[in-house]
Amino acid sequence: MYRQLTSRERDHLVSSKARAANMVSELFATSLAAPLDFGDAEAVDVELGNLRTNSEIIDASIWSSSSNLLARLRSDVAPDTAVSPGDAGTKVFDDRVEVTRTVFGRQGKPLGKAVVVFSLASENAAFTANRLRILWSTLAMVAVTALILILIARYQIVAPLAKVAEGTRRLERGEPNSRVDIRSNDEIGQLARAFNSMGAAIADREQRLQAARKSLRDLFDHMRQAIFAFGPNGRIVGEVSRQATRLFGHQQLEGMDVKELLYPAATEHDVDAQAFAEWIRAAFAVREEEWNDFVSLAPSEVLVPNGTDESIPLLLEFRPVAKRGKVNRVMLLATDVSEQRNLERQVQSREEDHARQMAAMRRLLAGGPQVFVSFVEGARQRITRCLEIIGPSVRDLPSAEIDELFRHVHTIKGEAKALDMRELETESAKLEEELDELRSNARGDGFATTGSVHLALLTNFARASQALDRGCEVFVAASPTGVAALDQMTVQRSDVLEVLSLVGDRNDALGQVTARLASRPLGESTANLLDLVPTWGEKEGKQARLQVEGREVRMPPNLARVLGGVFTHLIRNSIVHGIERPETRTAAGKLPGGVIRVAATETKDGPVVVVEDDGQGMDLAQITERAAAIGHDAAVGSIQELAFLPGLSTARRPGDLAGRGVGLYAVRAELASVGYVVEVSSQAGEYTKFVLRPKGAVVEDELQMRSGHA
Amino acid sequence: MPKVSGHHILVIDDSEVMLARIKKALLADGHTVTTTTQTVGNARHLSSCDLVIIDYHMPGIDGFAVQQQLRGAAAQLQRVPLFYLYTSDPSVVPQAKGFDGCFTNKGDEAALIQQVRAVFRLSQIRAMANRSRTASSPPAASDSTNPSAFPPAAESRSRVTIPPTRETTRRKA
Repeated sequence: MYRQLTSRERDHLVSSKARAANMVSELFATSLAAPLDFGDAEAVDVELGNLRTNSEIIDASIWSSSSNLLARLRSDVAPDTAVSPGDAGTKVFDDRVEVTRTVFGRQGKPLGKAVVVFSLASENAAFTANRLRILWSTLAMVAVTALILILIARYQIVAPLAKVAEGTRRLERGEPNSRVDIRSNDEIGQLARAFNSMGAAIADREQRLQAARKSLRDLFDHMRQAIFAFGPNGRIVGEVSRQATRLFGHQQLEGMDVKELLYPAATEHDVDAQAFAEWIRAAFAVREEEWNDFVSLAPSEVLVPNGTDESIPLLLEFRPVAKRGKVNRVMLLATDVSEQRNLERQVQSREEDHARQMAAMRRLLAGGPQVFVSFVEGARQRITRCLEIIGPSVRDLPSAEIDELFRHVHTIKGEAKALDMRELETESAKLEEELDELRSNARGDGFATTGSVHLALLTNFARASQALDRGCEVFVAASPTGVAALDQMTVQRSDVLEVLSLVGDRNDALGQVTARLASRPLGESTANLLDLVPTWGEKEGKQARLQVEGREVRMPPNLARVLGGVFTHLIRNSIVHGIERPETRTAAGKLPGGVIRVAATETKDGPVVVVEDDGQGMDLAQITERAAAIGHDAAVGSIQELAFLPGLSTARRPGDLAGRGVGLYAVRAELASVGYVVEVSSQAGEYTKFVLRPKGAVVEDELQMRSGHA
Repeated sequence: MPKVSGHHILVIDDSEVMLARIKKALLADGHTVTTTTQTVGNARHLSSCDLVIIDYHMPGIDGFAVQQQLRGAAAQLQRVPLFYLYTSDPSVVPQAKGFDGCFTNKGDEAALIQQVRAVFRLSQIRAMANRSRTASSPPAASDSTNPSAFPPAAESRSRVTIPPTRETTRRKA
């Protein structure tokens, strides 16, 4: 473009010059017509001289028609350098314009030619100047155009794209309102609309994802378990519940090794940690459907140090997180079971404490329950006396009364210690400390005010009294004769039996009191069986225990005399024939251990006793068969009657406990000798029950109800 | 719930008191337990045994020597039990003398129970891993040329699979 512009500019200058040169040359040729026609050389020179005034003309020459140089404007150069005339016309050169004109005489006869050479120096100089200007103008124009184009491009393309880019960055940063405001309908506008739609969809998904995460987080944080997941390298990934950071004492759990977390103190040889490490390694090769079996090989509980000397017991549960049927993460739910374990320990401790006290009481009972009864009576009297001395309100206590208080409390403490009643011993020790303080205060004046310790004394005596009550409860629980143990006094049995024989069969008040004196609590007949029953059960490969109800119910002396043997027979029978083996019982939905229950209740005709077991019941078909085998017709009596036949046993072979066919027969005979009858009932798979009742007495509903099978 | 029979464990220790405590704990965890203070003549107990627990310090003989004797006898058996040392000495390296591992915290029966359970779990995990490896590898491919996801266990030699522990069975139920 620049070339075109400059070329056109020069052409324009040269053309103007050529036109002017033509005109001047035409006039010059015309002015030469007369001088040449007349051969006036002087006039020719004059005409040439006129040209000299024109600075643009650098040369001029006049030629004859025979092309001889007639005259020349420049005389300072050799004649042969003059431009020789050609055809009439104009020739343009870079630095000059040569115009050749024919000089016509009268009648149009050509007289010669005039050649005028015009300089183009001024045009060239002007052109050079213009060309630079044009160059700068062109450059300026190009620059302005480029600038305009850039601005247009920026406004139309770059700015919208920058907006889209900025929107993308906002989207990357997770800003919710990352819309791009471009309203044009071109491709950029379409791109922006597509971007906005995409951004809205992402924002929506992000919002839902955040809501889901928040729900999950809330769920995590409100669960009792510490929850996190770990990957195939055993390191924790993703969300971690608040409870997890609390339990493990690390703010940042992500990236930690789960084995290190669960077994922080594990040594190289720690088999638990080793098993867990190998379990993790295998866990990610297990198919999802195999997980239920595999997870049982994971540890179920660990102890994690809590920064003190104690550890936190954690119950562990592992869940697979699978993708396309392959486990790619394992979620761990760890529950802090400290409270549960503490509770279990406390229960165990209480049970042990109770068992220890029971054992102590049993030892005491073995040596004679009267000792404990007299202790209780004495301790109650001492406590009552002490409360009398202290009085309901604060007062001055003389030294003598303080000493008396001290003696009572000290005695209670010593006796409680001897009887292994630790709670009473502790309460007594506290009382001793308070009384010791009072005694010190009284040392100078001979008296001391109860003052600040008054309330403490009353409270501690009340606690001591409660401890004594609880000791009595344990004593009663341990006693084979129940509460009857507390209502005893030492008498000679031979004296009682003598009185009974003297009174005879009198049914008046004296006879009744004497019979009551001679009667024995049921518990006496069952006491030794409590420990024997489990042993007998073990011999038969069974688990059995004796449960006694109505231990305090008094048995007439003649019945009491035979009950020991009767119970032995019936209970042995129950163990051999009734109670099933643990596995059989479990298969039948029962507890593995069988229960043999002995229960007694008073009736107007005398006590009724039930002996029953929760075993398999009597095999009536087998009894009938055996009865027939020993020559008895089953049609003669009821099947229950057959059970009491002499020589009948369903045992395949006689054992240590039963099977010789004399048990039930002997039982009935023994009971009959003291005016009692025995009846049996049974339900296959559920129970066998013997009822021992006075002859002619009707069994009351209460006893039936208590048996649970009415 | 009836106790499901667990594993048969032989315990060799010179202390009767310690043996009584260990036996009580293991029995309560459902295992069949044989205890002995004898350091010789115990090979007869190995035939049905899953795990042998041996005390480290015993008069006149140490646990390593007892283990060597029993290991020789057990080599004849189709079913080789695991041998674990029982010690509180952290400097003992059980694997160096042919033990499969060791139980620590001697005197803490609760810890022993956890460790015994872990041993049987570990044994099952390794048996499972070995089965998985065998199933996924062609017979010609050896371990050295075809490494499995599960590295071979130290005691993966000819040992039969130990039945599930009581713990496992209970969880399945």
